[in-house]
Amino acid sequence: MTSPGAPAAVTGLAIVGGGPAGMAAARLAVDHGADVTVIDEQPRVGGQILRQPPRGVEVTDWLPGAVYRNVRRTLAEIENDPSVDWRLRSSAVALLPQGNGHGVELWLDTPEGLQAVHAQTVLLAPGCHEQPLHFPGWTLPGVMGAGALQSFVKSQQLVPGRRFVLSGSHPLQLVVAEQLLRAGAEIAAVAFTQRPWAGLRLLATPMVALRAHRQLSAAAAAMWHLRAAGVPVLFGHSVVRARGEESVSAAVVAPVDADGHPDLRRAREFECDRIGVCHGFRVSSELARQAGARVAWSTRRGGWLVAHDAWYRSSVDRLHVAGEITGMAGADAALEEGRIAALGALRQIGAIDAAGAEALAGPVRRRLARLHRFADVLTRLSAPPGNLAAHLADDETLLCRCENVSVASFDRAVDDNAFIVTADAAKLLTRAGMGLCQGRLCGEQVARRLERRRGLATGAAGALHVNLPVRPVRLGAAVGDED
Amino acid sequence: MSMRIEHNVSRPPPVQITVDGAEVEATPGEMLATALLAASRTVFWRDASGRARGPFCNMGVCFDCLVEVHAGGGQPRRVRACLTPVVAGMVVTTGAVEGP
Ligand SMILES: Cc1cc2nc3c(=O)[nH]c(=O)nc-3n(C[C@H](O)[C@H](O)[C@H](O)COP(=O)(O)OP(=O)(O)OC[C@H]3O[C@@H](n4cnc5c(N)ncnc54)[C@H](O)[C@@H]3O)c2cc1C
Ligand code: FES
Repeated sequence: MTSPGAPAAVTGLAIVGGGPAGMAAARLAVDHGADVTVIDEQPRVGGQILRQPPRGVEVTDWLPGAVYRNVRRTLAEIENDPSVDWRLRSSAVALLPQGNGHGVELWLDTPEGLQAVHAQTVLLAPGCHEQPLHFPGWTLPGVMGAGALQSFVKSQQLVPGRRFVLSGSHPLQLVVAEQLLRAGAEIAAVAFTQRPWAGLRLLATPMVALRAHRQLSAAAAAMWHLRAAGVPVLFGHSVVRARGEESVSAAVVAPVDADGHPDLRRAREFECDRIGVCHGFRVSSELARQAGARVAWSTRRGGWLVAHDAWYRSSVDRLHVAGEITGMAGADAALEEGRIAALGALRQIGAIDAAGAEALAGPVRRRLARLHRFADVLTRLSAPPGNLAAHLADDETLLCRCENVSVASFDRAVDDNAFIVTADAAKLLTRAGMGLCQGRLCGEQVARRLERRRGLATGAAGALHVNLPVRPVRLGAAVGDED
Repeated sequence: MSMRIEHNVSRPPPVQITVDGAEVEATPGEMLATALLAASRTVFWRDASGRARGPFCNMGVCFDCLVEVHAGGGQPRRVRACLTPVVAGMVVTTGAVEGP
């Protein structure tokens, strides 16, 4: 692939990701006179929590809940601002820091083809995606992320199935189940891997004021509503198999212990046409890694998190980060992080002096510290059992759904090649992680499976190397035509 | 089976698209994945072993919502249906009818 031909458009601050972090940063930077470009692959800004309906589709009372209040205010303050250079339906596929204070070149894959943008400085706010669960049948049509189901409701105003089973460890699944129910779906069951007391014990700690935690109180209200509607909410259970020929026809649900080991003799089958899995999130740090930014592993806080200083500067010159890619902390925290990162970027391009930035950052940092404490409780509460996927997957389960690599063939290859000790080497050997999603769905399981077979510590197998472009550009007539 | 929410929602008039040779009504601007699910299509493509595949992430990550879109006589393009808005007259081929 060659660099895009046309000369690069020039901007002050390029923001990748128009979610809460990116929107709040854009507002603050524009208010300080910076030239701002916002890049997002969705047709409208808002990010994952505010996936908006298509223009032309009008929804009365769209997302009325308190959890959406702050982010919706920020959305209203920025979405129609003509001073921002909006690059929607455009994926940032490469970041090329020019060194010596010469800024960063970005490559964008747009409906009009590949384009380049040259920015004095870049803020990466690409958010996260859902953590999948590798269980027998997980590639059958009808198995989706719970957040994926939710985005069909929120944005597309579609009930994306008839009868649903939700299974996971994250309280978001209660909110999703309730939204589906209200929209007219049947909910066959909601299964939590945790035993009820595990969560209740945490909630009983004096540090946590449940009512002050919007996400948890929304989940508690949803639970009440689901139970009142007669929906079974099971604790200490997980989906263990999706049944069906061409798409889902049933979910097999069984008790699981604290390590994730299922008791299949006590399995139950629920007839359904969709299964939503909800095990929390993995941060989208692929662009940061491609640009060489330092990352550190955290299972609980979202995977390979991008390291940063107090101004949310990454280890790469002129590359700032904000929102979930610095560690899962929720949408309100993403707003505040976006503001601090914007102040850091404005300092860098000389649009604000150090004292001015410090004065504005003070109250933001105080609000953020409080939100980070809440986030810590939520991530502790929603951690899945350590080895759930390892216990659930059978020989035929696909470890890598892009390259069709089964668990059995991966294990065999790894056992036959004792010198393989990194996730990258296992990828080259087996092709697991080499497909179109670039290992975003399987990379973690590739590493964990390798580490288990080698007796290595979690994280010892390292992160998958991220190649440029980070998304396949111009999917051609043949899949995999990556140019 | 999926259904569009009607309560509190107003949509522009529907347009026609063609899916595997059949005429399907869709809302302009909604994602192709939405139009296909609403038309009871769950198999979007088949992998090298002939296994049925469909959308998993609904946000552009998994590439399991791939379909072919034929536009104005040129080569068909493989697109992610969850990131591709519906345009009147689109001609779409899914993996539903192909054998392994
Ligand atoms: C499917 C899903 C559903 C969720 N639902 C909820 C919810 O209901 N409630 C809740 O509290 N939290 C929810 N979350 C968590 C949520 O992501 C955060 O709370 C919040 O949206 C994070 O804000 P952010 O700005 O960090 O990232 P995001 O909101 O994720 O915004 C990132 C944006 O960057 C864009 N992007 C990413 N990579 C690129 C690229 N390479 N090029 C161009 N654009 C790119 C994305 O399209 C996205 O719009 C959900 C997460 C997911 C994945
Ligand atoms: S559903 Fe995952 S890329 Fe479209």
